[in-house]
Amino acid sequence: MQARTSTEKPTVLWRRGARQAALILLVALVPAVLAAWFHPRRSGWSQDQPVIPEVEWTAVRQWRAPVLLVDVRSTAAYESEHIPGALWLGESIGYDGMVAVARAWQPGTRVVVYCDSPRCDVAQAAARRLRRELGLQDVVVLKGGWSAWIEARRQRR
Amino acid sequence: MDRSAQAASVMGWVGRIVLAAVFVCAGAAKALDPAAFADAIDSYRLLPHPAGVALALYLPWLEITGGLGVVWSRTRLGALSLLFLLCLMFGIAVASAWIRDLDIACGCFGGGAVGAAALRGSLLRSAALALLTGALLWAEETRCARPDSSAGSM
Repeated sequence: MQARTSTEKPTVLWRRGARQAALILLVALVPAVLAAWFHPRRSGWSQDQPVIPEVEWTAVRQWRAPVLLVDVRSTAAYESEHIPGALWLGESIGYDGMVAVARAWQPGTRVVVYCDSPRCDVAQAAARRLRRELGLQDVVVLKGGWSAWIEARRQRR
Repeated sequence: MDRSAQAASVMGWVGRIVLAAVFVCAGAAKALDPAAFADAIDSYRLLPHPAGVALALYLPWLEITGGLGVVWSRTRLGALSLLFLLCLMFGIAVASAWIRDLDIACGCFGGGAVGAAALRGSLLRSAALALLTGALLWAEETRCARPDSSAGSM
């Protein structure tokens, strides 16, 4: 009987812990659901998430307006090589990066954000933040990102 | 209660308060701006955007309720188990970003410094929190497994 009690104890403890964890998970769900509906700084889901327009590099080259290129790849990638004149923002788009873009931007400037490849969605997120937090409306994403620019350069040579 | 038991009790109390304060502060900082936290989750490139948005809405409140749950003896065991799992999850996410050489901020307290050095610091913090949570969980399990354990103390 003593042996049976000692083997049951961990199971009882595990059940108690699981019940308590389930309660906490449920309690946390209530404000999370409310935040999803009412929080003023909630993010959009994919359905209503604004998709920033993408432009080809050949189109960007033909623009007459000044262009501010914003690189959101890693530091190593940027330091290795980047599109001439591009400003490095970093993938997390921290406070310093936002300030740098705000300082570099001039009225009438079009902003083009790029990351590594067509599969990279960081440029979309960065462009959305530039629109939302700096109020820049003329922000687009370079279609194909860095790999498209490399391909365009290869074809020019 | 002898002196060593009293010292262990005080250390446990201090550890729980520190753990609760860290998680409540981290959760509150992120709960204030779920859009920025969703962007931080996106930058890890581990989840599709809708999953990141859902996590950005839920995780801060889970940290807050988990942190508060540690203080209350009736939910302590479950709260410590959840926070231990969260620490492991954060550690794995940060380690994966560090290995992939991503220049991102941890986002653990709603932003932070960017880069490998900052990620290493976040990884160390996650490991320290996991150790503290694990030690408190072990102490709580030991206390609950004692034959004379009741609902417990604050």
